[in-house]
Amino acid sequence: MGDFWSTTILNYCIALGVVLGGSFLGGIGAFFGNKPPMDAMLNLSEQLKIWALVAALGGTFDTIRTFEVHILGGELSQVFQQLIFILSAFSGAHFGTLLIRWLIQGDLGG
Amino acid sequence: MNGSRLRLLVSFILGILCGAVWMTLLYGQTLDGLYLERDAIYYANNQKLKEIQLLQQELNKYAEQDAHRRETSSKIQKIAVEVESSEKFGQELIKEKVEEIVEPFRGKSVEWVSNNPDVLDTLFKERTIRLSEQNRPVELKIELKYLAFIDNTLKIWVKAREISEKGVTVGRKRFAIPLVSLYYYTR
Repeated sequence: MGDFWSTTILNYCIALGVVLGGSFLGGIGAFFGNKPPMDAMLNLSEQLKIWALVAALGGTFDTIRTFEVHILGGELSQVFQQLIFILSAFSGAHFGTLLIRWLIQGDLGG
Repeated sequence: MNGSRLRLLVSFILGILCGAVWMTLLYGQTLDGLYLERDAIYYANNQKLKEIQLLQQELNKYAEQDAHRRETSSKIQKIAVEVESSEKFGQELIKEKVEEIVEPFRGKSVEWVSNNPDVLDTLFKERTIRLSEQNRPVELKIELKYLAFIDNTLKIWVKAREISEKGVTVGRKRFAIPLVSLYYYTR
């Protein structure tokens, strides 16, 4: 497996883990904080989505800088790779959110 | 602490976390339902509390109004005197004199007077009045017989009997005086 695919899967899993872990542990925290745990988990999964994306990509600023460097250098394939990384991280985060929603509400609908 | 024990401790903590997550997933829905129910109960309780406070305010308002009404209505505003005497004439003069005697009670609280009737009794004890009737002075002994409150009216019944001056016999019939009895009628 090449470096590209391993990074893509890694990004996906990191984003998924951030959303799932954050939501689950946030639910436990909500329980100890005298708040409804499932409701807190649902809200956290939505709120953590963007941060999961950022965490998976290793900081948005670096990605943007990579974009700039590759676009100016004429390496469009590298730009495309970065886009794939972003998409995979987003997919992981979104899947995590969907998973939490399904777990709590029983359906995948908003 | 060696490495294996540290690993054991970390594994234990992770196990606790996993267990907590598992319990949250297992009982989360029930807990959410209970929290919702609690919120609904709090809301209903607050509504009831507001209702109680509103009713309490209304009750206080009415109580104040009632107290004010009682305060104004429980003062003696009128004094009515009834005289029991063998004399048919001159009763109005006696009434006037008796009214003068009890005049200080006008404006006083009905409750206070009814709680202290002995004040009135003392007022009439051994009380004599002098009338100038038909150009001849007449001395009368006044005794309180009954006392009643009808709304704001203090109604008193007095017995009047003529007493002869020392060494002078007045040709009038004497009456046996019954014991002074007090009768309270407060509304």
